[in-house]
Amino acid sequence: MIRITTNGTLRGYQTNLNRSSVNLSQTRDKVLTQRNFNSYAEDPAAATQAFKLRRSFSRTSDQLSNTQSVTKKFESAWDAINTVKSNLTEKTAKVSALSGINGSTGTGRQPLGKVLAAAADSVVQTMNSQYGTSFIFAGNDALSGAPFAWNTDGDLTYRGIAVDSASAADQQKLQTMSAETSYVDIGSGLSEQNGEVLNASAFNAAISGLQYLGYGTDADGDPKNAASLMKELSDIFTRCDADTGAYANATDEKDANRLCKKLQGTLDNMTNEWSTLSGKASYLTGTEDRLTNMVDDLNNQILQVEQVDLASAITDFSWAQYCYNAALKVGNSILSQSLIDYMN
Amino acid sequence: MRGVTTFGAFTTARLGIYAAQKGLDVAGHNIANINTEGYTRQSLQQVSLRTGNKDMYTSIYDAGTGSGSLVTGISQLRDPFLDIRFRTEQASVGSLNVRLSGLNELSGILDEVGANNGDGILEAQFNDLVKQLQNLNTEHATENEYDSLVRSSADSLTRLFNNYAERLEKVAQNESESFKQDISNVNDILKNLQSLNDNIMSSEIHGDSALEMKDQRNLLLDQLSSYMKINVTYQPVSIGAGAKVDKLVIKTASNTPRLLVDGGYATQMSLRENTPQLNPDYTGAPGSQKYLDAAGHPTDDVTSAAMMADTNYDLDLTALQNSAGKTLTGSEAVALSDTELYGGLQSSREMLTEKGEFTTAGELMSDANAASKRGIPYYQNAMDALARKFATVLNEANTGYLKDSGGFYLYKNGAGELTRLTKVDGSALALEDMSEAQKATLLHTGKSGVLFSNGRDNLYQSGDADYNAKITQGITAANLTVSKLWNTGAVRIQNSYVQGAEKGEAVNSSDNSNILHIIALMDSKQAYKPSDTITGKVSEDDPFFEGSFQQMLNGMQATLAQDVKSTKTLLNNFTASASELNTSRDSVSGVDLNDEAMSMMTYQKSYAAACRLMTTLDEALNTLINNTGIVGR
Repeated sequence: MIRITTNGTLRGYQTNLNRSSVNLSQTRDKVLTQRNFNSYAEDPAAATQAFKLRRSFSRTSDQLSNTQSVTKKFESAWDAINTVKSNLTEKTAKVSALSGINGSTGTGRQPLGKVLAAAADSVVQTMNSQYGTSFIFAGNDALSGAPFAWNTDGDLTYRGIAVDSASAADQQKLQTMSAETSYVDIGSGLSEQNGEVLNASAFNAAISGLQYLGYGTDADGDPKNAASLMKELSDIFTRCDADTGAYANATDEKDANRLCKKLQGTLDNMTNEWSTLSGKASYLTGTEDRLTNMVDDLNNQILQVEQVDLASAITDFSWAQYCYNAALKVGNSILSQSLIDYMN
Repeated sequence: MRGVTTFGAFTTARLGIYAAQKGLDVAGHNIANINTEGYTRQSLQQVSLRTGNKDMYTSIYDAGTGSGSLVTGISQLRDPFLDIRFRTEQASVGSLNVRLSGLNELSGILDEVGANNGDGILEAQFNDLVKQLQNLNTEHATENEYDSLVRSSADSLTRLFNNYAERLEKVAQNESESFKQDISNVNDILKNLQSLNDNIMSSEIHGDSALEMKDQRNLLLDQLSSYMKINVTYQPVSIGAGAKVDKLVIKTASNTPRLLVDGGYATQMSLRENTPQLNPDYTGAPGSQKYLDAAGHPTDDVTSAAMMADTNYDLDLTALQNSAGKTLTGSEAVALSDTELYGGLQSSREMLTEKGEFTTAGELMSDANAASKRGIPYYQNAMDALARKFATVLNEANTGYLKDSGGFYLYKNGAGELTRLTKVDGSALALEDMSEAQKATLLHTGKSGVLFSNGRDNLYQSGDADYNAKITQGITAANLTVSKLWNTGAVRIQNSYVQGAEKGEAVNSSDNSNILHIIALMDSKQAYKPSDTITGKVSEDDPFFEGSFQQMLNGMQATLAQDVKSTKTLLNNFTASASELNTSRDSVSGVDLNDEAMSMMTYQKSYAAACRLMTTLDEALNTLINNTGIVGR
């Protein structure tokens, strides 16, 4: 039988009391910090998981803020195109043009010409709207300056190139410009292949005004651009007789009729593109909702991994406290008596 | 009749009183020392005394009686086997204790759990950098104020790297100081043991059992065992006239036992100052040579090897000497090999030297398990690897060349016109397929350039040849900094390398393709290889980690955490086991008040009984002398 010595008993008590105290301290920490683990070593797997979730949370929050920003830009774009399409082109320019080619109202051709010229200017100004510091319709060169301008010859230019230019090189450039990209990470799984971002993994936030107004010339040599068409019609009407409203020549009349039809064509194109823009804007709104939900979900997951179940933490703490108190109580009587106390 | 003397029994009583007195003294000594560290319970040794022999004329009816009790000495109650087991456990406890305290110091730096509201520190800064890049990317590609925000975030990140590296270095310095202190402690213990051995032996020669000194010696042996695993033996030595005393011999418990103490001779331990320069490419294969000579050529001859300062914290033992400085016959200085020791000292060394996956092939030759041992240098190297990879990847992304929208790299032809670099078939020529001459013609655009440097930007001029290489060479966590070029605005995050329409060598202002590329890089998988950061042949140059920057950081933290966790568990086990053995030792050697109370009662009663015997004898003799033969007087 093993001898239990006085100091052996004391040392054993000390060790156990210390263990009990450590246990109490750990359970107390859990209640106070409300965290399941307070060091990486306590639960390496959960800590790694928590960091991973927090990283996703951070990235998703970034993507949400990107989406919100792009959504606002697209909403501004939508408003601008709506103005151009409805107010300027449909209600003002189209009505003026139709009035102009209609013989019964032909006497007012000159003023109508002015209205058309003003409408063309307004279209250009609207298409030069800014969102923050960037020009909404300037493709991916939105921080350099207004994209649309009338050059000294009275031709409309987009970032320095005449939009109605018939030259193949210019056409090529305009085509490239109309398809420019400026990708933004909106949580579609941003990924690259050979250093190039995969189209489907990010959202193209570049909007080119060329797509909405049109560019280049058609088979008749007429501009495809709405503002240029308005301007040409305006020129024809302005050349008309101020009193009678008679066309300056027969060609003008023919041209006016043709251009008026084509203006209707550009309006159709604008409506189509405007619908596409609406689609994109609603996709962005949907993405915003999805990301908001995801942020909430991630937050919940983080809490699940990190946050302690208070009921069980408090129970554990109470139990540890009870054990510690019991250990202290035992300590009080651990060495109270020995044979020496009974010797006479 | 033989042996019957009138007053003989008085001697018996006297011896009884004497023995009881001694017994009470021993009990008193035990009680007095109940709290003395290392004290071993003593007990009285008594023998029954019987004098005289039977001779040939002795009557067979003569019953011989003893003459009392003799105290022959006082002995200690100790179980040597328990000592050995305790000291073996103690070596493990010491080893793990030192390891855990080193790892805890590292955790104090690298463990970011709970910090910064749970987001971590370095981890959170990486997230912030991505956030700022996203802001720059979305609608602000070339706006300087957004670039400045990215730069500020990157600057904070580099400062955190610097701070972590500095604190890791501090931990290494502290550990080094504590290791040197441990060596000095071990040397003190060895010297004390030597002097105690001398004193014990001389006391024993003079007939004293020197119990208290032996207690002290055992205490020192317990202490020594936590520094290193030792074998303790007691060898009998003749001191003439047939008498023998025990000599204490201590050796290291390894495959090649080294003598530490031999009676009055003891060794001293020292840090090796110089060591032959190892060939970092040494593999142990035939033809592979172990050392490098002064000219840097491999050699197998240790005498011609270049000597360099020892950074491996190797230990040497001096020849054993006695207190007069005389060397023990046959004893020589010993250079301890890398893995000879086990215990606190070795753990401290391993914390100071082990590099885990960054171990070179040469280092692996002296410790085959070195690649799986991770000390402070491992974590320093891992931080360096992360810092370097981060800087290299981002620098590379920000120093591209002008391309056109078709993906062709451009150069200026003789007439100064921008021209496509093509293959013979007219398709685009990739960067990796270009000759150096072709690469030299490529054009930088915008404010592309090096974002991060090694902090030596001020030593060179930006026009110097290989300026970029000079300021990016050998980036570590300690020297990583935002380059001077970026700080002064000469370089910014390059938004794109694609030539803008009608823009010549410039790119479009809100083309953000390169920023998005950098954002993608922040979360893309990188391969971390040991050779990225260390020179010399590494044991395995497969990537030791593949993942994003933050995953690498987490991986490093998780490795440390796992190490802390397993060390803690092992330490708990060994401590429990050592504590149990200590209790077992105590159950043999410790003082117990109940025992001593029993001794007190026993000896007090025997003292009283011996006195009573004397009274009885006195009365008997009184009867004999005064009351015998007086009838009728």
